Amino acid sequence: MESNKMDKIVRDAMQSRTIQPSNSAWERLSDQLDVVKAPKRINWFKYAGYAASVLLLISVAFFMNTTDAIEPIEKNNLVTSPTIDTTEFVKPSFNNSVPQETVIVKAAKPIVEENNGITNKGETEKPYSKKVRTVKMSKSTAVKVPNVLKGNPRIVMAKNTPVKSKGTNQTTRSSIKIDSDALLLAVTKSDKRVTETTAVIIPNSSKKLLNQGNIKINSEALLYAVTNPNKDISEYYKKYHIDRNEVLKNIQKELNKVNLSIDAATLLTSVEKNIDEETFKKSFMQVVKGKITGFASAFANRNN
Amino acid sequence: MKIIPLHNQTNQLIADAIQQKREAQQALFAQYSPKMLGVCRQYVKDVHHAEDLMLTGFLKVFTHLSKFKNEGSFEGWIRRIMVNTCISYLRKKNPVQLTDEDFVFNEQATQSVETTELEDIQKMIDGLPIGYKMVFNLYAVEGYKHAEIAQELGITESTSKSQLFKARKWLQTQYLIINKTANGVK
Repeated sequence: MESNKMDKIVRDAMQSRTIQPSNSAWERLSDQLDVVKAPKRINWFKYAGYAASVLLLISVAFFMNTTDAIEPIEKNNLVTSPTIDTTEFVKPSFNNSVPQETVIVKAAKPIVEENNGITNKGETEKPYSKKVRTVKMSKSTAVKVPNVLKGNPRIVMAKNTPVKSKGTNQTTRSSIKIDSDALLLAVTKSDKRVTETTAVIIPNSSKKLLNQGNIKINSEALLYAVTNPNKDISEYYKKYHIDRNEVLKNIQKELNKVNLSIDAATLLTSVEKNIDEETFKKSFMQVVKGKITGFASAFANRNN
Repeated sequence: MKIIPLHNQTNQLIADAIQQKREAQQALFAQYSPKMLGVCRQYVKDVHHAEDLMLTGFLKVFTHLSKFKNEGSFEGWIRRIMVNTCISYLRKKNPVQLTDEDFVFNEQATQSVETTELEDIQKMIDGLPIGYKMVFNLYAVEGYKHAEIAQELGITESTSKSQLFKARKWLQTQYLIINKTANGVK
């Protein structure tokens, strides 16, 4: 009981006791409250900044995607197009020309021998004349094979050779293997004036030699090789009984009269490129003259 | 009739203090800080140190004021926060060492305790070891049960009881010494 009495007295004394805090107590507490509030504001702004930046990035990305996206095609506007065979093939262009990068006339004598003993085995031993071009074409493509190519043992033709490819059951194709060397030979042999010439594929090293002027090239053979007049143009000349050499001579005469130093063969070649059946039907010579005049005037104006 | 307006005024201050209105917070501080400083002074000898603890307690009060549910008295809620703040501080500073030192119980020591001055009582409490002081204050002044004291201090109930018993003996001994000194008896 005595202990409980002491507890009661102490309790009464302590519970009712008041001690006045110092004058600066509230100021200190107020400062502490400011410190507690400040981080909350900073955090709020920080998170708001993060959220805003993330939203900005998302919106920019969305905008970029929407602008780059392909517009959806409406079903009604769908256009059914035939499936395109993406298999790469080279359409032979026999009517126009032998591919420019693969054909040149080379002198019969090896170049290396003329080069003061500087030999380059890598260049001379390249089997230029044995390169074989493989030409694949669709079955539906009509292929015109020049007569000069027919019967040539170096041209191998394989018709309707089935080729199985991935993803498709079967694809029927005609593959023609043409030796470009033999092709050019056939072309050049059709012209009696071109003899002892060999077709080769020009490598870069040979182009350098060509630039050095060590190779003699028959310009007419080169003209024929480039323009490939063996069939169409020649047929036109035959059909309308025109001698090409006569035309060349006349052109040269006319050019000499006008004092224009233009190669007649080059001029005629340019004209021949623009000649078609309609031109022959009208008046071949008139058209040729007109075009030659046009080319000559254009050339003269260019020099001016 | 006057209690109701005061109660309403306190509730309004609390509501404003929750809204972080500094004037309301200052009013509540001015109203309760003297009593709370007395509470803190029970546990800490130095008044300035007690004031620091009181400010820490009020900081907790204002930052967690929205958690006050009006289920009890606001003063009791603040007082409990102050007590917890002081106990946490004492436990961090000096891990509670519950002494088993025996004190000589003198039955005559409590005969004239009613006449003891407040300052003398505070001196007696200040002289208690920290463990005794916390248990005695929690039990005798704050009205905690031994189970609550055990949970608060992380001790067993029997330890709380023994500590209380020894604290009482200590106070009686101290009271006897004070009285003898006051009466000029050695």
